[in-house]
Amino acid sequence: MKVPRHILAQTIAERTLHISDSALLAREIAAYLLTERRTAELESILRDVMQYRASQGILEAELVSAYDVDQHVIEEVRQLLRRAYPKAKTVHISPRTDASVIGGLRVDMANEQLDMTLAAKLSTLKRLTAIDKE
Amino acid sequence: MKDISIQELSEDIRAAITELKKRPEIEEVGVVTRVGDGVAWIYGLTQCGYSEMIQITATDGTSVTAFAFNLGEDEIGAVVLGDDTLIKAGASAKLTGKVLEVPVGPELVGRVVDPMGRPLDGKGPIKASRTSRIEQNAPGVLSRKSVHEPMMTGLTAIDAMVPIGRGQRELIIGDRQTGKTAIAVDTMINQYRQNTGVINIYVAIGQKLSKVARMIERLKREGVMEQTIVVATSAADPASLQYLAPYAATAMGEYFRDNKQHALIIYDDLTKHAAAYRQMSLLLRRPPGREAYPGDVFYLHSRLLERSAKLSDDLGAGSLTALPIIETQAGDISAYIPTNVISITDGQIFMETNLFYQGIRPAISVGLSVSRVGSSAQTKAVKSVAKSLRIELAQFRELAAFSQFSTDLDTETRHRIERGQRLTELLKQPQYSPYSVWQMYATLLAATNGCFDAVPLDKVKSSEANLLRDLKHDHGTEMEHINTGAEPDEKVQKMIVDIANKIAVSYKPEEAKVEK
Ligand SMILES: Nc1ncnc2c1ncn2[C@@H]1O[C@H](COP(=O)(O)OP(=O)(O)OP(=O)(O)O)[C@@H](O)[C@H]1O
Ligand SMILES: [Mg+2]
Repeated sequence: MKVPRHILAQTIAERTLHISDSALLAREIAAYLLTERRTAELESILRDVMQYRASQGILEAELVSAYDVDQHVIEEVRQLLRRAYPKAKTVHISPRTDASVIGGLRVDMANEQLDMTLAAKLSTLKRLTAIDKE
Repeated sequence: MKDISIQELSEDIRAAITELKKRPEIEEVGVVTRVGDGVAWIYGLTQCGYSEMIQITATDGTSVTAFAFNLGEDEIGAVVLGDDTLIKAGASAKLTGKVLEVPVGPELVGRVVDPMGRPLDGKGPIKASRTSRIEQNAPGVLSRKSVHEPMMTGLTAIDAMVPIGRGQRELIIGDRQTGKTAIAVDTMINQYRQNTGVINIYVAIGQKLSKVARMIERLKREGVMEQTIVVATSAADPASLQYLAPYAATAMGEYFRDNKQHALIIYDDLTKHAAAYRQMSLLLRRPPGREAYPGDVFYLHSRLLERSAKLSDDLGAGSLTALPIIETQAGDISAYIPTNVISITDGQIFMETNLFYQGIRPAISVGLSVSRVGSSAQTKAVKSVAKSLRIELAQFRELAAFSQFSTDLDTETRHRIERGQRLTELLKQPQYSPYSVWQMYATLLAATNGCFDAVPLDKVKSSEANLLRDLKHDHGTEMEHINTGAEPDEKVQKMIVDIANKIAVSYKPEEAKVEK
């Protein structure tokens, strides 16, 4: 029988709370997904895991920017997130660079996003001017 | 420790997956729990997709193909293609990760095959180099172009009043034995006679093999088989094969459509196809709906017929024209399957038993037949004479119904009725003798100009034959020109009418008066 995704996510999330060897857990999950032919679901499962962990007070966010950001920007974002989510006990931030955002910052969470990038502003601008033209 | 980050974990998992994938494939195996009526129930194979092919190990060691049809929570219902008696409970089943494919390409032309593309004509294996999935998505809106080239059937009644264009889907509907197949066969023959280069694909679904064999024999005799593919299933074949036949044949037709060619596909008939699908569905315990058909029976034919299309110039401007056939019971076109297919197609040719027995063959009901897109594909020549034809026939039908009860009719009415009778007579056409454009044009021009009005009814056909013979003999070049589709100038028109009048006179109008 196929194990429902949320159960799978919950189990993984529980394991992440009590295990410290991330590499070992990763191999276990990879093997499981392969035998069950569910590798395509990895992305959704991990988002479920993030959400479950968030409900346990572990907030995880990805910080996307065009250039490397320094530690003090990360700290600032951490403060921002702590204010926005007072229940969070831990806040994990993993920075990532992506030239396509052009400038500014974007904070991605399991199912929320704070978009302060130039790319987003430009596309809003494009949309608004397109409507004006009609 | 709470320090595992999902981002890191995610990367680790992906890395591990790529590494593990390099190792020998882990295979999923299911077990057949019970089998019968062409259906195998399989435990396991939770990753199976809809319509995926499954290989089941048979008792004799070979493997039998089945395709997944019901994806249950704890078992799969698979339809066996082939002999289900070779499968025993406990047999192992494996996924193939593929959906059913058939060979396609020019190598199939001239052959008779089953829905899996296996030869049935004993002419040796088919060396097709390509295969195609039997279920394909229909071309989208942007890949299409509106229908604008004619697909002539060679039957005057159809080409003049319900013209069909390349890429159109025109339903042929009627009771049993009303000449439905005859229309389709004549259309195929016409493609050969007019040298259109259109590839014919004829799909026999659950028919008597003797009938199919006779038709193939005829096609060979007419020389049409060289540009025809016949996909045959008989009434004795399992429902699964009958169900697959039209999809497989369409895949074969799509090859021509997608390679800048034109193909014509005939589904004979979709009533039996729906019945085969119903049989499969009931055996698989799907909930029956109206007339015991499963709920998705509409989708069964809509997804099939949508694949016939005229492609845009960017895609090579090829086309696939469909002539689905539906058999009605006692002329009831409001039954479930007929209404469904009528709503999917671009028009219908309705065949009437009454007309057939009155000797009006092809027994096309002018009032109930329509072509919703074909008029823009009609050749100019035929179009110019067809307009008045429809109106005159409509008036005739109305008057004929009235005049049955009265004896003294005014001259105007009598005249209309006589014209109508002659037009009806002229639209009769024997089997296997399609007309070319100039023949239709000359006949209709003469008739709508009243040339045959004085000719006795039983002589109308022979005076038409004389007219056509004289025209062909004395004015061959002009007639060839009409065949290109262009409407001839007034000089030629007058010439045709004059010749027709001269012939009509020779049929002794005195006799006609006496007959009245
Ligand atoms: N135009 C025609 N002139 C004379 N006979 C015809 C004509 N069209 C069909 N017939 C004859 O009528 C009979 C029935 O024709 P056909 O098999 O095409 O009908 P059908 O509707 O396809 O029948 P079924 O329901 O059995 O498939 C055949 O014997 C055929 O030869
Ligand atoms: Mg028939």
